[in-house]
Amino acid sequence: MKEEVKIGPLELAVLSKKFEAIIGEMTNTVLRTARSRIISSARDFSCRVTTSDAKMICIAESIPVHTGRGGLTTEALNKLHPNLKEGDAYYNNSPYHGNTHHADHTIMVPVFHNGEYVFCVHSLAHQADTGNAIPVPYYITATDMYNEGALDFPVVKIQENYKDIDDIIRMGRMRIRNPQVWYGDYLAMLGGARIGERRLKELCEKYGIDYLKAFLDEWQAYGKRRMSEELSKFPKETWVGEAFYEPGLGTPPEGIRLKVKLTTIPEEGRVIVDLTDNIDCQPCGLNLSEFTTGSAVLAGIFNCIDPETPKNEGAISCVEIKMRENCIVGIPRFPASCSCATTSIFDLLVIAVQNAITKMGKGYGMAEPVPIINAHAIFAGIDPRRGNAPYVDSSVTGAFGGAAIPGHDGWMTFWCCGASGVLRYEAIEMMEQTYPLHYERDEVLPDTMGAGEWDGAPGCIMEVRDRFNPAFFPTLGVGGRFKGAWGGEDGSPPHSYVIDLRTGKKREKPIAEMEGATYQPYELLGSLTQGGGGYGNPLDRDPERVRHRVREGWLSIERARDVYGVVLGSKSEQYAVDHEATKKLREELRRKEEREVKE
Amino acid sequence: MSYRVAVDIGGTFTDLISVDDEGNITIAKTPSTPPTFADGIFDGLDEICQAYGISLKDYLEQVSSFVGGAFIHGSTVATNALVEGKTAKVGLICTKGFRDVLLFREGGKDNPFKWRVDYPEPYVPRRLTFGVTERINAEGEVEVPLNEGEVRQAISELKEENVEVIAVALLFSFLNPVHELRIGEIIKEEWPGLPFKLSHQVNPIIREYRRTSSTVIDASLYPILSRYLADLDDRLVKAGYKGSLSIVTATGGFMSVREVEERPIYTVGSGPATGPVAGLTLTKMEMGRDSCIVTDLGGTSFDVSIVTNGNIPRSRETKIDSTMLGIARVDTKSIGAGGGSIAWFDAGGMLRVGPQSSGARPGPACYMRGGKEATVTDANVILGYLDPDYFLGGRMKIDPKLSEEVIKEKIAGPLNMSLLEAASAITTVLEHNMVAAITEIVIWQGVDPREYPLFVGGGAGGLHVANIAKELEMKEILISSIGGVLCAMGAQYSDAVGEFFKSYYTETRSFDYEGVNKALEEIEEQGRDFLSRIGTKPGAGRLDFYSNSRYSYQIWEITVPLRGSRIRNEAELAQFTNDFHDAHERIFAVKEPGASLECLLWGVYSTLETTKPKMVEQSYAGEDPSAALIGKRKAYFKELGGLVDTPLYKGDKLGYGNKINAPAVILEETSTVVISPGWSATVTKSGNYLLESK
Repeated sequence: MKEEVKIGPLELAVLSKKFEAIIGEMTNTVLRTARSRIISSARDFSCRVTTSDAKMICIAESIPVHTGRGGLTTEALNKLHPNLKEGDAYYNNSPYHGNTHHADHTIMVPVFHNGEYVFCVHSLAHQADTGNAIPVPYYITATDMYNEGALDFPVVKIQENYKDIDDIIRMGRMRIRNPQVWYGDYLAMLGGARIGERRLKELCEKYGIDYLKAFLDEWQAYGKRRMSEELSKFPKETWVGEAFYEPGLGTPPEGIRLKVKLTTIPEEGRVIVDLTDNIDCQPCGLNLSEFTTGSAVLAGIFNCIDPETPKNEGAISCVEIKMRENCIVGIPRFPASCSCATTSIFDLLVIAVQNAITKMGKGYGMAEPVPIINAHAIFAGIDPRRGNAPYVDSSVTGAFGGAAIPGHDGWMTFWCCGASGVLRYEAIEMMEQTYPLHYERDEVLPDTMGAGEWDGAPGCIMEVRDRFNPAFFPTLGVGGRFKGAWGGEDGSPPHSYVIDLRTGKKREKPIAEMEGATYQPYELLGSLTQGGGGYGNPLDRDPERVRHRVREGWLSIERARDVYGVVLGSKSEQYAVDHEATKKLREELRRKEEREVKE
Repeated sequence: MSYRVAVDIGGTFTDLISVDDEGNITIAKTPSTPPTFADGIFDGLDEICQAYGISLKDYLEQVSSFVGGAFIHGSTVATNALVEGKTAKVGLICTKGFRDVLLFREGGKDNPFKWRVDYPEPYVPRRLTFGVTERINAEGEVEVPLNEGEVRQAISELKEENVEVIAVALLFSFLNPVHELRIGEIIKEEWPGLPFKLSHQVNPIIREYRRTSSTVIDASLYPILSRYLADLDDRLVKAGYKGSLSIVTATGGFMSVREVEERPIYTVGSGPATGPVAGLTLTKMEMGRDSCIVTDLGGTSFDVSIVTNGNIPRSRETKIDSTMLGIARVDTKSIGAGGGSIAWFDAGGMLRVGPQSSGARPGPACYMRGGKEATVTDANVILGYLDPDYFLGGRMKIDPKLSEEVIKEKIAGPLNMSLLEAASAITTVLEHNMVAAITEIVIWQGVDPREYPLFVGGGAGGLHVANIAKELEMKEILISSIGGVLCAMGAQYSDAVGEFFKSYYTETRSFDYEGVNKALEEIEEQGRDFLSRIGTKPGAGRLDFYSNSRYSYQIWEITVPLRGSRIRNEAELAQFTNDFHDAHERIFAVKEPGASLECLLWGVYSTLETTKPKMVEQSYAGEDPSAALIGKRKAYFKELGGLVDTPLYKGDKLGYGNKINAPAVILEETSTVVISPGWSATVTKSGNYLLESK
């Protein structure tokens, strides 16, 4: 006879802490033992727990691109392996099987209690290399999966009885560049998953499975209540949000326009997000996977509501996403390549969702942030200081891109929508010690932020070269400018160049030209990142804030006058605000704006 | 008679502990007196002199006669100055092209979806930051010579800005300081008398943000701290003190006042740093153990740290607000939890406690200062653990009716629970928050809490500790009877500690014996100088060498002690690499035997163990505690089915060997200890409490 279990607010608080601690321990294990920079320094990884029936329980506070329907991967596991056993571990990097993209490798461990399969733990980490045809994990122009060349692990068994299945490891070691780093990362991820398994088993012992199941029901209901509460604040209507991906590498000649129809049902505390009215999968690496389509929609929504809202199945279930097969933002049709499914179009989809929310009225949503665009994020070459050992890695350097939000300027180290400021920066000194690179400059670029009552974050300038040999610097990202909202201005456009250090001659380079280029040690590669969009009319910005930016060298005195209508004294006057002149100028500029609107 | 006195200046109170030759402790607690903190110290000294019945001059004379660090001073002067932004105006000279190191920091953000926050401003404004042409490369070679004209120009602009101190932090200066040293000379020429700080001297570590941050913080504290210390030193000397003043640092030891004037950053966060020192010392003395989990629960915050095999862990990642200190500091995790923590429901109906606190004002509802929120203290009043007639030793009046009203209205009503159940729910959530904090730090350090005793300090620790230990399956708890002045006690037990280090890169597969040993020799010399400066005889003191190393391409280093002072041959190198593999396995559960290591930094802790105050040992008083029994009251114990008659004991009447069985409540001057079912307490030789689970 089963005892009736009651889970109240107290039990909810206690048990949710237990799950959080388990996730914390998994996260810590991966973080501290991983080899590649992008995991242990930049923290491009995440750990999560689902139920055996593929319901997301929780995820560490990790990057948004990983915060989606974590249950998708468990579903794929359950479908492909109906006879799971204790001691098994499975490896999945397949975007066609519930994973993000090929460069994110996921280890899944089914957790058993008294012979019953009860939980599934995942540890997912981005890899510096995944065996692509080119030494870059993001391959924009890959026409399909075969051309992309990544080694696909479609939910394969990699451990049995807690021991590696060497056949699988050998495949990885053969195909992935830097096999030592890859295997080190594999051990780190496995360690994280196994720790999670051990702790969940202890939890089952301590509380009993019936009690835990009762808790999980209440936990999902709790997530749903909190999410509904947030979504009930959206005004009832169907809001259309769009975003535009400039013509460039891999895109059709006209570029890619995304369209999101977001229908709010505040009385039920839910929304329906319709993505079906978008173009088909393209013969390039830009297609999203089912997982990243979902996480982009959720990121767009989570960015605009209470950030503490739980990220469990209950909360996620309040967002109904309509997607179709063979759509660039939907379910990819094999073998369409999803090489870049965590950036580029991912960012655009987040922006489109946010734009729909921003339309609800001034005070909602945010301006457009800057997707990843940086010539230095990834690099490959050889290091004569280490006996010409080949190197390939990704790093987070150069800051840019946060969008203005009502009440606050954009976040400086935003990096991209998929990362949302979470990634850690690598020290220039660490980069130069580990790799034969030389950085010449890494600074804020003045006059680049989208002006507004609240400014976007400024763009930055970064210059780099390999010190000894030719090296490969690809780029990924989106051209164009990112838009302001409710009267805010757009951020500055991106730009890049190469300086020949022998002659001092500077050669401008369009962004699109840069994929896969090899640069000589005497060529200094410069990239200017975009500024984030502004929110609200710059004529409404607090003049003291404008003055502060001028004093700090982010803003020119001319732009302060022309765009913000703020008249400042000279440098020796410490740029004191001339309030009278400012008032007059702002009135004048406002009249001019009104005239323009009429015309 | 000679005395040793320790002072801890906190935000609200200044605590003094004076200990005589025989180990007798005298405590003074006086209000802190910002901004002239020295006044508070002298108030406390007066109180102590009164207790002894001697004059200040006589007292200080007898303090002076105590060998090695007799006047030990911990303070929040530096921390407060930082938090309140009352530091000196700093100008920064950096490598051209890298003006925004302090702005970009190391990126990162706690909650990826939280945008309604301002991006923090850099510690030194950009307008006071000047890049100069120069470059040292990753091998320490000069790639671009220093442009001295630009340096002079920068100094002249900083002059116009009236900065009070200049910080210099160039890329790779920790490998080759030639350009920083030259800039120092130019500052002397161009602006004689202006203080300046060079990054390779303040904190010679790799990672430009951390090094630059340390340097600018150090520079910004230099004027204020040297003024404060000079003033205090002066007043003490005038009052008759002849010894030297010792200052507690963030490493949990102390340095001489001269030393600290040179490196003021080391006093930031020094307050909580001595908590683990006190915990370790008491655990050693009372239990003969050198590992423990140290906790300190007060009114607003709960601090945890873990001591393993006598080593107090240090971390280089501590921050004040958004600014990283970059120096090694005693690793303490702090969460918002304490007597003042507020209970509330979130939008989904989950019961939460803290991190918001009612603080000292208005404080918990029962304080009668208009508090309208249900707090942990109110819950403890309802549960019968806090005695309204003996609150803070009877010094403060509280009204249990107000606790009842507020908990009924805010928690019991919405939960549809009884008053007692609601109060118990509040403390349960608080206790789980504390368990989570301990779990997090335990995880981080790869420690199994079941193998550790739990040391408890702070006024509120004894109320909740038994439940916390039970949840963590810990078997032994040591509760300090003077938990309220834990940090001053820690200062009493601390040693003179100096840390010196040098970055020198090498890999074990092609180990550079000569270069490494040269670096070790240099820091050994600095370590020995430190010891001789505090007046020890040659040969006295202890030098503990370590290396910060990692596997190839790994990002984070771990600290591994060296067995000796040099690595001379292959055998010693093999020993060192084995120690690394073992440490890696201990912390992360994996190792890679045979893999080459990258060694980044070599350091030494230079320690002079001072004569510790003895503990007064009470004579054995037998198991029977009834002499201290002062009555009974109803207290709530879930395990016993609700409110039960619970004996009350007066702490100062209990004697060594007394055994107190559950349920019971022990009342101390500044704290309360609850003995819950499943536990029994024994009074130790020195009057602390050892709780054991049955």
